Amino acid sequence: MHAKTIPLLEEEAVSIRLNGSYLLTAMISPRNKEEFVTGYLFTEELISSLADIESFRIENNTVSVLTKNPFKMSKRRMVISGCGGSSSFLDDKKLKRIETSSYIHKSTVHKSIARLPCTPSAALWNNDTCIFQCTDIGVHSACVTCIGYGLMHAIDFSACIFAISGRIATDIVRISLICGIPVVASSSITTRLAVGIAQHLGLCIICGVDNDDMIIYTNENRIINS
Amino acid sequence: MQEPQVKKVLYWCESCNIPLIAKTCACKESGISIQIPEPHEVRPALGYDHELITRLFEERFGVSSLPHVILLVKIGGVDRTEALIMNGHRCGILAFDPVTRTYSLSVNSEALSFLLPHATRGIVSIPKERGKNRRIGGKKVEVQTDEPDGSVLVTYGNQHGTGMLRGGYVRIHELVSVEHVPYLNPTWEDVIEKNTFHLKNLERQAVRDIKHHIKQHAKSRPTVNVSFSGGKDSTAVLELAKKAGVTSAFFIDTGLEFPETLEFVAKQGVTMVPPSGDFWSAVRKAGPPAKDNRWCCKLLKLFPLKQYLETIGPCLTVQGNRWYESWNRSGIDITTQNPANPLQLNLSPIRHWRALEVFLYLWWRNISYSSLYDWGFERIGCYLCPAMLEAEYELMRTTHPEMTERWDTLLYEEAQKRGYSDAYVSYGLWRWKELPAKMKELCEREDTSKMRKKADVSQQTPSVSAAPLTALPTSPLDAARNDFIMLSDLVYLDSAATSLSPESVIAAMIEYEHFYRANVGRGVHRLSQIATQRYWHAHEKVAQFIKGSSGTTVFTKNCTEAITTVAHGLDWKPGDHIITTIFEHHSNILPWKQLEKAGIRIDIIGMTPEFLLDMDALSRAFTTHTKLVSVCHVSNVFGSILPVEKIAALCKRYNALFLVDGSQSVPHLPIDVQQLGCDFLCFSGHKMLGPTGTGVLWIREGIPPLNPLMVGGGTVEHLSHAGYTLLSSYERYEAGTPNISGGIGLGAAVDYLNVLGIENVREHEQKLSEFLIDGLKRIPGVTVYAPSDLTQHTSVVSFSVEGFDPHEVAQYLDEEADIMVRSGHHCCMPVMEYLGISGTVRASIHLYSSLSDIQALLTGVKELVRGK
Repeated sequence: MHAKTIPLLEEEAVSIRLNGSYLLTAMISPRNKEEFVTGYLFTEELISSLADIESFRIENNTVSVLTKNPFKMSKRRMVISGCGGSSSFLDDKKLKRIETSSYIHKSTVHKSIARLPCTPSAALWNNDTCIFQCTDIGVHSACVTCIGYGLMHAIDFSACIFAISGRIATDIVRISLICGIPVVASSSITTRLAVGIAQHLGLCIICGVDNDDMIIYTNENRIINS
Repeated sequence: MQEPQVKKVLYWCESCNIPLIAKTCACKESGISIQIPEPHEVRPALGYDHELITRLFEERFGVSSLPHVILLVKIGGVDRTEALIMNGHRCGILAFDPVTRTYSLSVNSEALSFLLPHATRGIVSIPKERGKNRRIGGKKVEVQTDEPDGSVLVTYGNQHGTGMLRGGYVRIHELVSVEHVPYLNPTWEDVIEKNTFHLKNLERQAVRDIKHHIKQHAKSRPTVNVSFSGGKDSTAVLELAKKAGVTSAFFIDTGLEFPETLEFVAKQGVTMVPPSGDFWSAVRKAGPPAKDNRWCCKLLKLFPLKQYLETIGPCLTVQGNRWYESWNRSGIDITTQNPANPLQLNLSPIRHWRALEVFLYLWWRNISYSSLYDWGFERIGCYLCPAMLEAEYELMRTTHPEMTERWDTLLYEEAQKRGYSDAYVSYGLWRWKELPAKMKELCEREDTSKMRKKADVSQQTPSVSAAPLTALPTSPLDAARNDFIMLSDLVYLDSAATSLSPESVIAAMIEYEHFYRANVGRGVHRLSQIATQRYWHAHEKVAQFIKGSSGTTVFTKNCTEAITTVAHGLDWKPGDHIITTIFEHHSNILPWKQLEKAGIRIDIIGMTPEFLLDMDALSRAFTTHTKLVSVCHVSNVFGSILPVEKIAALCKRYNALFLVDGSQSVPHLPIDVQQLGCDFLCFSGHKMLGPTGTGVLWIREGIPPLNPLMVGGGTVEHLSHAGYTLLSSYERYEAGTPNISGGIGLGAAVDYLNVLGIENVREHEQKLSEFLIDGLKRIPGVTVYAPSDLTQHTSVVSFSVEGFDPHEVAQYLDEEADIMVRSGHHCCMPVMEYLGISGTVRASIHLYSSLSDIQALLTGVKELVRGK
């Protein structure tokens, strides 16, 4: 009988410096470092767009980013519960409501979840096409990497669906709201708080997605039948 | 020809009640004399002024109707101060207070005869004490009155006078007996009619003077023209000159004209000489011009005039200068040589006319003139002229608010920069470099030192540094000149030696010094991290600029060090062969010549009569021992472009390394090192808008690491007693503390060039080069050293002037025309020896060079040639 083998995920401690100062060390997949760091800076609202970044330097496991005006950096860091950081306060009044009139087909939701591997993963889909999918040490890191990729390729988030493996907690809701992604879907579960915030701010949360079914918790109007 | 006398009196016909421009009236009566103080200028009160005076009389005295004919006589004062003449009397003074920004009116006793019967207010009665008849003329008397402070009419018994009321006291000027005299109220048409005889004489004399001098100077000055400013004087002169047969006129647009002036000039059919100086850049460097520091005239008037005169040759210019305009012009002769330019002899046929004569003449002949006079402007010229009165500038705030807003913004910034109070702007003190006594007294009186400084205007209004050029730029490169402050008052054509740096480069370096001055390397603190990353990023930017990201980009202190790094860094053995060319700068010959001592053989390839590389000779020079070919991409003497791609192909065939000196090409041509085919590209950062002390050595990927020129801190991966391992990245070659701010500045220079687009730079420079070469070739005695096929040429133009050493030419251009060029052998002695000359004059163009610069150079060379 052959022993079952499962490939090991690669994990690396990547040190991130912003404008000369140490920011954090993230345990992430060594691939897509630039995407992760870009997405992280954006979702932590340390930059407001890709144009804020002056230079990006990767030296082994250190990523150094300089913004265009390194002496006027916002010190605001909102890291919430979930994989990737220490907890702090989440204020939904400071998050923007999603105003887009985009909608997603149910079939795209099914497809996007079906194509996710079992490992912590996230994917961005648009127009029934997978724009980017990645696997990482945690779902949060994978989501952040997707966002970074989207920024670097000028993807219009307002027309995308965010497909993730794992539960949809407020950290994922927050990322979606910051980017203006109208729909986030998962085969797993969500939280009451996440639903409350999403409902209030126009985000569509879909959970329990499998081949045949899905539960649309909030803003159902964003989903249409094929 | 008898010189007319200065008119110090104004004649007035009492019968007709009109001013006369000579002693007798058409009614045959002789006029009375009214003394006119210096500068003896008399002018009519036109629309705005007449309304102003009427309003002031009405407000002060309730007198609503004044004579049609009012004259103004300029007298000394802090700002606009004029005596009023009405009905043949000097009856008051109109003055503008630059502090309160208001006009005041004071009357004297000569006005009483026509004021008293109509005045309903402004009258102070001083009661006579019974039985007493005290003398109060000239005295200060306490009064009970509701009249506001200011000029008043005084009644004292049956005597009347004028005085100044202040704080309950009136200072009485004098008391007189007044007879009411009914006056005629003629119009200006009546004045013209009564003076027609004299106007005809003036016209006849002026036309005769013009014709006489045209004939007298016909041989030496065949060109006759009129210098037209758009003002009333040159309008009159234009008409007179036309009567004398002059058909040509020109207008120098300073770029600071009233729009109404430009509109008026455009209708006159005169040649408009466009603006050439950039006032808004110059003012940032030189500060606002002043009455005692009129740098603007040289930049905006004399210089374009000079260029225009070069195109027309020696001329007799008829102009409207008059004695009475100012103290400076009070003694001009009928002809005066332009002190700045021997080409121009000026003729002033109306020098003895007062403004009164000018206006009467224009009205008599029904000649249109600028509407600005009726709006209240006494002088029409540059709207920023420091000679303009604050009264007129205040008027401009109503008539041209955008223009005054822009100028005010600059002035307040200047005041803030100098630590002055608001008064610098609000009182018009900026108009002097050194305040005259009257303004010092005003400042003491108003205690300007204690005035609160105006709040930081930089947050309130746009900075003048962002203000656009006065002429709309037609390309991004036109606008780029604004970024080079040095260009405001000189012509820089020595960019092949070193280029200028734009403000963004300087700002990047200053930011380093101010905010994150720290050493690069492995420092942990954030300042070091930022400095290290920005320094590294500058390398990346330079590499991308030359499409060499796959190679190693090393910062050196200059191109010489870059080339020397290669010479020192390769492993040589006796018998190795190096090929270079006669075009080379010493920095690309000497490192190889030094290797001759080690048994290395050097071949120097010559050039064709067309100043191009002799490719046949180059091909023949290759041997199996050829290790390196080192050539310049563009000659720093002739601007010739060498065919480096072809040379690269030869090198590849013979397995020789190929070094290109790109100092004169990287700043001016699109560079792709993959296309060039070189193994090493060396160039100067300081010639591509970067700071001095910067250069670049680019090494193709795959070339074995060179032995570094220096080793030391920052170059090793590991060092111990056992040995050391050098780094493989650019740090290997940058031992010790580098020129960090310089490197960061070089990165900013690349950003700047990327924004403009190197293709646009090439196109711009090529046009200017072609214009320059063509212009130089047309000057007798000038030899140009350039290929005839200008597609093989870029931005560097060498020439010589027969009879002049190159250094003499360069010195002349600097001293006489503020033009910077280089002279001598340009560190290319072999090519000078080959040509049999000691050196050349070299003009080198960059993206910030303009057509005006080239025209200035051509003008300067023509003047030099003509003057020998």
